[in-house]
Amino acid sequence: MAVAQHHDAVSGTEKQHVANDYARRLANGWQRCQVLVSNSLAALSGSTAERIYCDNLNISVCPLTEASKKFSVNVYNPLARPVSYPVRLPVNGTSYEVTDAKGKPVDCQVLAVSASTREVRRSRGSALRELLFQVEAPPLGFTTYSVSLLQDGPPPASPRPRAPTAIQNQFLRVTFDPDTGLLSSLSNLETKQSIKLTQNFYWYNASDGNNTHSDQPSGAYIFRPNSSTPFIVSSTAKTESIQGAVVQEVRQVFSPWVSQVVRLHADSRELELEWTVGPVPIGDDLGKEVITRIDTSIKTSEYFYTDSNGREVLQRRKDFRPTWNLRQSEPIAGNYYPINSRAFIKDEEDQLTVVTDRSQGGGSLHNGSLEIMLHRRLLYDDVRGVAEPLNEISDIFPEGLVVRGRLLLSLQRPPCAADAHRPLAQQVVLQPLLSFTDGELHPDTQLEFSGLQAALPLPVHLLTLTQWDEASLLLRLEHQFQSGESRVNAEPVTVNLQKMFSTLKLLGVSELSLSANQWRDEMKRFDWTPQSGERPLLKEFQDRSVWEVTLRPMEIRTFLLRVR
Amino acid sequence: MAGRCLQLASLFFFFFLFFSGALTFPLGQETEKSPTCGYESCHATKQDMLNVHLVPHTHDDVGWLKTVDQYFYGDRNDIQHAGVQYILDSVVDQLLKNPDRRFIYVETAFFYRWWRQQSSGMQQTVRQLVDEGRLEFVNGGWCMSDEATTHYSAVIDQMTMGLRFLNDTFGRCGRPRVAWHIDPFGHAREHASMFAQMGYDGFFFGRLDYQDRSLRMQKREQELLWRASESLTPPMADLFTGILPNGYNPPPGFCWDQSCDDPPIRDDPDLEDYNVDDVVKRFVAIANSQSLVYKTNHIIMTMGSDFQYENANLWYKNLDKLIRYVNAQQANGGKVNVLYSTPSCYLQELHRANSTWALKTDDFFPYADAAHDFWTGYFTSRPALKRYERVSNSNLQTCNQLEVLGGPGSRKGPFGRGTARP
Repeated sequence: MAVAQHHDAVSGTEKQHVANDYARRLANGWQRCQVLVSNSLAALSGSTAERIYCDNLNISVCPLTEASKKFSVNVYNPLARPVSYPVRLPVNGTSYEVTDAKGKPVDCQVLAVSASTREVRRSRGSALRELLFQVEAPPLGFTTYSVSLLQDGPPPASPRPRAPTAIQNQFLRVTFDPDTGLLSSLSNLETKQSIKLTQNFYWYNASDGNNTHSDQPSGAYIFRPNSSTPFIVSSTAKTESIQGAVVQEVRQVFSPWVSQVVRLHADSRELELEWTVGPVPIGDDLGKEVITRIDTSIKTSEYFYTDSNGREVLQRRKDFRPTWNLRQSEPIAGNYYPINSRAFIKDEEDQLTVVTDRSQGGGSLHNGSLEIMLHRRLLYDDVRGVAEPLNEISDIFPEGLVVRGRLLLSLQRPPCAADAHRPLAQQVVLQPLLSFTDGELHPDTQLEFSGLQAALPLPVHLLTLTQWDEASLLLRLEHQFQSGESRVNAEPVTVNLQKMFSTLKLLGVSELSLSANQWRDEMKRFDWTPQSGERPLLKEFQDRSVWEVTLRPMEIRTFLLRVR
Repeated sequence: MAGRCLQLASLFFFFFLFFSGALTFPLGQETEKSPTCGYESCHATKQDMLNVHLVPHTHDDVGWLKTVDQYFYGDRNDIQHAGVQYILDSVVDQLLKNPDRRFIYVETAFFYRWWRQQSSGMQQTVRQLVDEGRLEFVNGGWCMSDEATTHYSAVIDQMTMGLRFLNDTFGRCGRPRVAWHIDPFGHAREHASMFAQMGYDGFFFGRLDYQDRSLRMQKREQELLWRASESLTPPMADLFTGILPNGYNPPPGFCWDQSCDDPPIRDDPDLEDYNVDDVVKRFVAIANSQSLVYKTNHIIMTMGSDFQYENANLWYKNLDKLIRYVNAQQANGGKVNVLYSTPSCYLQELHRANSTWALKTDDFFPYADAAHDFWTGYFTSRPALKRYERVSNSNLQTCNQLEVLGGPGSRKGPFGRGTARP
C-alpha cells in the first residue's frame, strides 16, 4: 500500500509493466493479510473452519457460493458505527433462505446475472443468478448470516423489458424517460425535494497532437480533448428492470461497451449507479476519454465542489482561479479537478452529492451539470517521459480493459447534506469484508462480535487502529465534519477512550503527532506571520481528563495506547 | 529527545514495574555524544550578502518506468539508467571525503532497502553522518505520495511507516523537518494540512501552474503561508510553502551528474580551456537574477535530479570548486556567498528573516505547464488500479484492526503466519 501512494503509482502515470507490479504487490499483501484475518476471526468466533474470500464479487464470481447448498457469510465492519450493507452473491439455485445471527430470516431476492456482468466476468465464473440481502453489521466487529438453498423454491422472476416510469422506496423516488430510458428526475421523499436529473455517457476525442495551437496529445498525465463537445455514446438506452423486496434495478445498455445499472436498495437513502465501461473501441483510430454527465435543474452559477484527498471540500468555479486572473486556454481540461471521494453541486434549495468509489477527475461545465471521467484509452504518449500510450489491455481483456464502478447519488437540503455524505463516503472507503464458510457452523461458534462497547458518535471516525508493538496500539480518531457544514454534527465531541473498547484493557495513553513520530506536546514548529492579519498563536485545548478526549471539526488525534 | 513516562490514569506501579522497559518509543537510537543535527548543523551564512543554498539531492521514483526493485538494484538500465543502491553507496562515500558536504534523502522505501544490506560498520558510519547533519532526511515517508489521487487514510499510513523507520533507526536526528514534494503534478490542500499536523516546519515543491508561477515571480510570492484548513484553528494547519526555482533541477549550465553534459570546472590555468572566470560569472548572474523573484537574501538551488548521484564524485568535486571560486570573489567585493545546505537550513534562514508571507487558502490544482498542457488526465488514468488501491486500503485497515482485536493469535494461528506489514 505504501509504495502504491507514489506519484507514479496510484496516479496511473507509470509504464504498464510497473502498474502490473504495483497490482501484484497489493495482491501479495492481501494474501498475507487474509491469513491474519482468518486467524483473528477464528480466535474471535471460536471456529477454525476454513474461511474463503471472494475478491471478484463485483463481477459475480465466488466458487463457494456458486456451488454450495449451505454456507455462512461473516461480515466484518471496520467502521466504528453499525452499517447496513447490501450483499450480492453469485449463486446457481433459484431460491434461498437467509437467516441472521439470531436465526431470524431476512428478506432476500434472487435475480438473473445481467448480460453485462456475464460479458465482463468472461470465463472466470458461471453463476446464473445473484442472491441479494441486506446485512446489518455491528461497529468494529462482525455478524454472521447463514444461507441455505431451498429445493423447491420458485424460479426468480425474469427481468421486465423496458424501464418502469419510476422506482421508489420510502426515501427516494427516481423517474425515467419512457422514450429514452434515461433518468429524468430524482426526489427525496423525506425532505420533499425534487430535481430534474438526466444522466448519460459521452466521450471526448483525445487530441492526437496535430493541432494549430499546440502539438500536445492527451496521455497518461495530460487531458486534452480536441473538441469541447463530447460525443454521445447513445441518446437512448435499451432497458430492462427488476423489482423485488431487496432491490429495484433498471439495467441500461448504451452500447456494446457502455452499460449501467440504476439501483435502489430497499432501505437506502442514496441512488446507486453502477457503470461498466469498456473495452473502449479504438478501431476508428480515435483515443477516447469516457465521461458520465449528470445534468440537473440545480442552479449552480458556475460553482461546484470537490473534496481534497477525501477530507475538506474546496469550492471550484468555472474558468476561475482564486489567486490570479486566469487566461483560460483549455475550456474542458482547464476546468477539471481531482475528486477523491465526492463532488457536489448545489443551490439554495438542493444539493446533489456524488460519492465515488475511487479517485476520478471531473468538472462542472454547464449550469446544473456535473461530469466525471470514468475511463481513458489513448493512442499517443503525452511526452512527459512515460513513453507509452495509455492503452490498457490484459490477458482477460486483450481488446481493451473493461472497468466497473459505482457512483452514489445523495439529494439533500444543503445545510444537511454533509450529515449524509460524510458517513456515506467513509462507508465506501472502509467497506465490510465478507468471508465465507462452507456447510454448517459448529453450534458453539460466536456469530457476533463488536470490538466497541458502543458505536462512536456519528462525527467521530475511527481512522486507525493498529498494533504498534507488543504492548501498545496506535489509535487515530477523527472528527469527520467540517466546521459549519452541519447543524448537529459539526460541533466538538468528546469520547472516553477507556469506555471505547469491549475487549481491550487500556493501561496508559499518550498523544502523538499525526505521523506518530513525536509526542504531541513536544511538537514545536516554526511560527510564521501572514502578510494580512496577525501571527496566530497555537491554542491549546484542554481535555476533560486523560481519557476523555475532545475532537473539534476536522481534527485528527493520534494516540499511543498501552494495553494489557 | 528525553525519555518520559506515559500519562497513567491507573495502575501506575504495575505499569512502572512491568512496562517501563518497553518505553523506547519514540526515543529511538541513543547516541553517546550529543548530536548536532538539524538546524544546529547548518553552515554559517553572511548577513550582508546573497546566500546561495546549494542542496545536493536525488529524486528517486518508487516506480515509474521501472519497478521499485528494478530502480533499487539498477536493473533494466536499458529502460532507464537508474540504480538507487549505487546512489546511496556513492553519496555516503563522497560525504565522508569532506565534512562540509551535505546530502538529503527522501524516499524511505529505498533507504530501507539499502540500509538492510549494510554492515554494522557502515550503519555506524551513516548514523554519524546523520547525527552531524551531513546526511539529512527530508519528507521521509515511504514514498513521495501523489496528491491528486490519494486518500488521506493511506497517505497518513505511508508517512507514518517511513517516519517510524527513520525514528527507530536514527532517533531525533532522523526526524525530517521539511516536507518535500518536488515532483507531484499539482498540490492538494489536505496534504498541506496533514504535513502541518505531522510537525513539519515547511514544505517545498516544484510544480505549479505556469500562470500562477509567473505572477508569483513578479510579486515575489513564491514563498507563502498556506492556511490549509477552514476548520482547524490557525496555525494548526498553517504550512510555510516554498516554490523551488527550477522545478527540482539545477540552474541551466550547472548539472554535473554523469547523466549531464555541462562542462566541468576546468581550474588548472596550465591546462587547456580554463573556465573558472566564466563559471563564476555565469553563476553569479543566475544567482542575482534568481534573487529578484524571491524575497530574502537567501536563495535555494536544487543540485540534482531524477536518479542522479550514482557517481556522486562528479557532482561534489565540481560543487566544492564552485563554492571555493565564487566565495573567493568576496575578497574582491563579491556579494554572493555559496554554501552547502539543505532545505531545512534554507528554511531556517527564511524564518530568521522575520518577514511576512502571502497567505493562500485554496490549492494548486489544476496544474498546467503550458497553455494546452493541463495535467488533469491522471485524475482518472488507470481507473482499475485506482479502485484496486482503494479496496486494498480497506482490506489493510480491516487487517490492522483484526490484528488488535484478535490478539497475538492473529499473527500466528490455525491458518499459519499472517501479517499486516510488508
